[in-house]
Amino acid sequence: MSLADEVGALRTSAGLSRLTDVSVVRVDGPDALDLLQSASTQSPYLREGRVLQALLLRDDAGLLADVFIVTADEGFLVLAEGPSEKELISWLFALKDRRLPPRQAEIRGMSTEWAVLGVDGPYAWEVVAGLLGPVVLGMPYLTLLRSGEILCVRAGKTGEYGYLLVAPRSMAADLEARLIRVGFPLDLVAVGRDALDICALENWHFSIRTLRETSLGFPLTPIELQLQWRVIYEREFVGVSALRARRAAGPRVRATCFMTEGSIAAGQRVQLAGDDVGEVLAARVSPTLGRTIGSVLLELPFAHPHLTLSAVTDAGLVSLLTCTAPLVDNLSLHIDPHKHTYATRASGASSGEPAP
Amino acid sequence: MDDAVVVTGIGAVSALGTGLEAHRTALWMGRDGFRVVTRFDTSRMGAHLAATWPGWDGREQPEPGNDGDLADTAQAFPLHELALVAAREAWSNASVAADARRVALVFGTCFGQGFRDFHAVTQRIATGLDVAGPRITISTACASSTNAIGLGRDLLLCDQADVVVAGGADILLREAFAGFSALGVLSAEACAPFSEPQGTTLGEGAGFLVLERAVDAARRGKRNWGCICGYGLSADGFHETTPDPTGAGVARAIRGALEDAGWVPTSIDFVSAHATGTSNNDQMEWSVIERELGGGDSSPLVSGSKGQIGHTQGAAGALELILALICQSEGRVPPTLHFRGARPGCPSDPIAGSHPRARTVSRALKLSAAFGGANAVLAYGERAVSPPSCRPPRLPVVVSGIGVVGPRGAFRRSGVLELTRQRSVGACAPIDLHGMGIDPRRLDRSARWLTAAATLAMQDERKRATERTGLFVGCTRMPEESSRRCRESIRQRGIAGTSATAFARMSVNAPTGACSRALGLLGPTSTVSVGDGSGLLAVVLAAEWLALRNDADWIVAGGVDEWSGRLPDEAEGAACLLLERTPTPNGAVVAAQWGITGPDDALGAVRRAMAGRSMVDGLIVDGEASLLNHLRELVAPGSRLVEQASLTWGTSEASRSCVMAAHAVAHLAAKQAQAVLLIAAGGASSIALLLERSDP
Amino acid sequence: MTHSAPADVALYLDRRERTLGEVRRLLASIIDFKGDPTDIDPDAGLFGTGLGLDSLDAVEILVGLEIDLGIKVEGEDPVRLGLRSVNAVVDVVMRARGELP
Repeated sequence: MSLADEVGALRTSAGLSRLTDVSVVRVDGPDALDLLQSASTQSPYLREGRVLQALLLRDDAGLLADVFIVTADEGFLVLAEGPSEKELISWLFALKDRRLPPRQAEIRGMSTEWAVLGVDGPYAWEVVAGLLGPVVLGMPYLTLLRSGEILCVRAGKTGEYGYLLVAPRSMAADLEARLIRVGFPLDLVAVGRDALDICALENWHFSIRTLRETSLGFPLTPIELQLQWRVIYEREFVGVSALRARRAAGPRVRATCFMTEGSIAAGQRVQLAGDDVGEVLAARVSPTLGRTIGSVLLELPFAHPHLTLSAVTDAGLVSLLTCTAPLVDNLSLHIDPHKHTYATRASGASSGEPAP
Repeated sequence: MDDAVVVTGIGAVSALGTGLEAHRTALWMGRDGFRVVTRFDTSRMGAHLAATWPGWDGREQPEPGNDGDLADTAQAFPLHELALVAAREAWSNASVAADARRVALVFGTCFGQGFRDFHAVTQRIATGLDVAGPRITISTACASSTNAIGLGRDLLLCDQADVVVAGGADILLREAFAGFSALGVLSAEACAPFSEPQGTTLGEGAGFLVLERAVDAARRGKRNWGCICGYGLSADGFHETTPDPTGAGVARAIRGALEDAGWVPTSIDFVSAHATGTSNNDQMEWSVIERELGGGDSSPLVSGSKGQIGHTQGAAGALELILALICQSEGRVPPTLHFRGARPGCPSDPIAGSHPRARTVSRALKLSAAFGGANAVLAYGERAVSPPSCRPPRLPVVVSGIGVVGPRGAFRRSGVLELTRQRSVGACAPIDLHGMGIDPRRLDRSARWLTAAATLAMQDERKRATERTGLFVGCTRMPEESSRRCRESIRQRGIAGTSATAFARMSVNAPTGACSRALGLLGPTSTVSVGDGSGLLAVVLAAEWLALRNDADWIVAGGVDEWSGRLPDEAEGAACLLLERTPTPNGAVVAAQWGITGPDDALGAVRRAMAGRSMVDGLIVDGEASLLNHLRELVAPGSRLVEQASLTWGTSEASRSCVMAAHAVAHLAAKQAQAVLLIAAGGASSIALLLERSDP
Repeated sequence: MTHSAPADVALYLDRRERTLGEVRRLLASIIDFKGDPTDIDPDAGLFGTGLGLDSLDAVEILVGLEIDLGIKVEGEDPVRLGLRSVNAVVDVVMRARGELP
């Protein structure tokens, strides 16, 4: 199965993934809420059944982790992308002890006990409902449900329906097998991290794996990465002072979406009318759009869509066009789980048309 | 103990006409009440039909002046008059004679008189009926009268009254029409529940039931219309106007009503659905009905009456129940009009047709799912199906949390004694909501104070909200900020540009809904008013709920007052207590006894609260100094803790009485008193609550 | 989406910033945003992810575009109209004003 096929499945039916790079950490204890409040960019006062999408920042406001936080018994579960589980746990421990007296919280990595699977795609809901029942159909975005020992989170970073399934490792193989069986008539396909990341880029969903060292000399913060919607500036959390200072000083660059017919790599410098205005942060070939797409860090006056930039690459001059995100008209937007099914889908309708 | 409650009288006014006979005739002729709106100009709104009362044909609602005061334009449509027509019919239909002080009135309304007067209307209805007992107003949007009838039953079960007149009424006003139109829920054609086209049609009307204990009705040989056997409440906690698409909230209220009635889910014969006709409601409701009540052959018959009388807002629950009771008395069930085939996910035959269908009904449900996520369900049926009482054992109800926010800041249990050393007057002080973990976005002013006070009350014991934790709020008027925004949007953009968001947030129960959503309080939820003392009423009703039922572990109860700038000596803020049921109250503060009586019967309320005790060592009165002095002599001579609430807290109808209760709890918890009597007198009812320390 | 760039870049950028400001202020008033409207990321999503607007807000956006910005949009569902991010709204406004190729 090629990468293009995997992306195609994510855009037209559904893809099953083993999310081995998602850490699962439990935080319990009388000060668990307090600890997470000081760690997270959004307030983790959480209701039962709701999922918080937030960031964990370092002291210099650079990103440590992209997280989902949910309630679990009396404490919390943190599902994190970015750091390894060990790195995340030691960071939380250090934060716990920053206060005197130290907060009373237990922090445990659960990766040896639990596995995380992903199901994404316009008919992902039909796959998961085949496993967990029709209650899945009505699940709003960023909510969860528990079915026995399985935790099902409706999240998704591809722009299509997406679900995380967190289950005990002892059940994981069986769960996968059941999903594959249920998904067979729905053309469910195994997909890898690359395919998911390409879809995320097409929809301008942030992926922490696109972060890299840049020539800027300072870490990229939520301001440059257009993630301020995940931050509440009035709150007190790790990195907020540095973030407020950066905001007050005035940001200099912003990550902007682009497309190109040519070929380009991360790190490439770009020009507008001959002047150097930025560098490419991430670039991937999009099978859906048939060209290379990505994110380019542009100096602020120029960080807007509909501009033609140029890059001098080894292969010659390449032209880039900045764009309005998202780049794809997702099939999921036209599907109502209460009305449609994969079996009766209209032929000819497909995701992948460039957005109007 | 047979504590069945029966309906001995009904009265109805709607687009179908005035009185039971007119409704019966309209039902049998298959007539609906929809006509083109002439009362105001609908040319720039997407809908033009409504179900208005013929009694007001020819009256017009004038355009608002430049000041845009919504209340002024409604003067030609006095709500209490409409309500009294129906209430008087119900009273005469019941032909009951009772001590006026033992007759209660529970009235539900969405918009009151001109969006401004709520409990004042209830008072006028009570006066018109000669009701001298408790007068309670329920404002939970379109679930108001369903909730009112259930509460009426509870008042009888707790012996706070011998007869209850319960129901609701609402008028069709231009601003409400424009608001619903802005929300996109009005149909361009006649409302067709479960069918096409989608959308609802607004209506107006009043519906009342007279409720009595079955033994009392039997004693005087009065035939009854049926039995109200159970009642359930819940909150969706999902959105201002859209119901939870999974239907979990409605399901909770159904289960609560069934448990209260002691019925098995598959024994239901008929469901009078909320069925507004909107895309968000009908399919959700049907999926819940199938899931909760269905089971092969025994799916109940379901119909929606809004295709006949329109969406009568606060009167909906009562009027639709009345239509069902009229049918039931003749062995029939009401139909769903305008049905031309089911929408996806809707029933294929919701008693489709124009005429009632023959069917014997033993057990039925009335469902209401309102804005703000307030759900109310009544279980009703034939008298014979009410089983003997199997109430859960009455466990002590304790107060285990306090939260107060006001002009002097935020106070938890540990700080409340400090709070009352100085008088609180003025606007609420800035509160650090982020520090409490509250996201203030999407919360208007009222919602912020209420949510802050509720959060503080929950923090005392680190409580986490669940489906079994509720919220009862005393609130006497519409949120000021949201009302102002709505008026401004009309002023700036014309009536067709009414802000949908501001309209949705300006209902009296909107702060309750926002708080339940922010904190995840999804259990029994209600918004009540008696004018002065509303917060204490909410506390007492919460204690009553916990005493009568098993579907909630704890309930946050209190009151909120938003700054209006119109009252002398005003104090803005909110106060909440957390009440929970526990078998082992050791050392805790117990809500021991309470009484609810009419406005001129404070002593009656005190007597009920004091039953079995002659003295207390603390007395706090939200009322006149003369009452304070009289009571001091009576029950607390020589007591050091004797206070008049107005000396501690400025003018605030809902929160002050609850601040007072918080104060009493703090004294008891600090062992500075053993038993404190609270009384709020000055509103539409007198509320008395006895709090005691339970020493092991 | 158009695939050509405006001839006069400076003029375009100037108009873009101005329109972005108008749209940010409109959205800020709709979501009761307490911060500075410039904190609203231009590529932030509107519904679901991003600003997390709901169906009530969707109505307000269309009304606000018409009454505050003078842009009449045919249709009732912002998502169907392609209004999926702040920049997408800016595009609609600029296109209606003839400021976008």
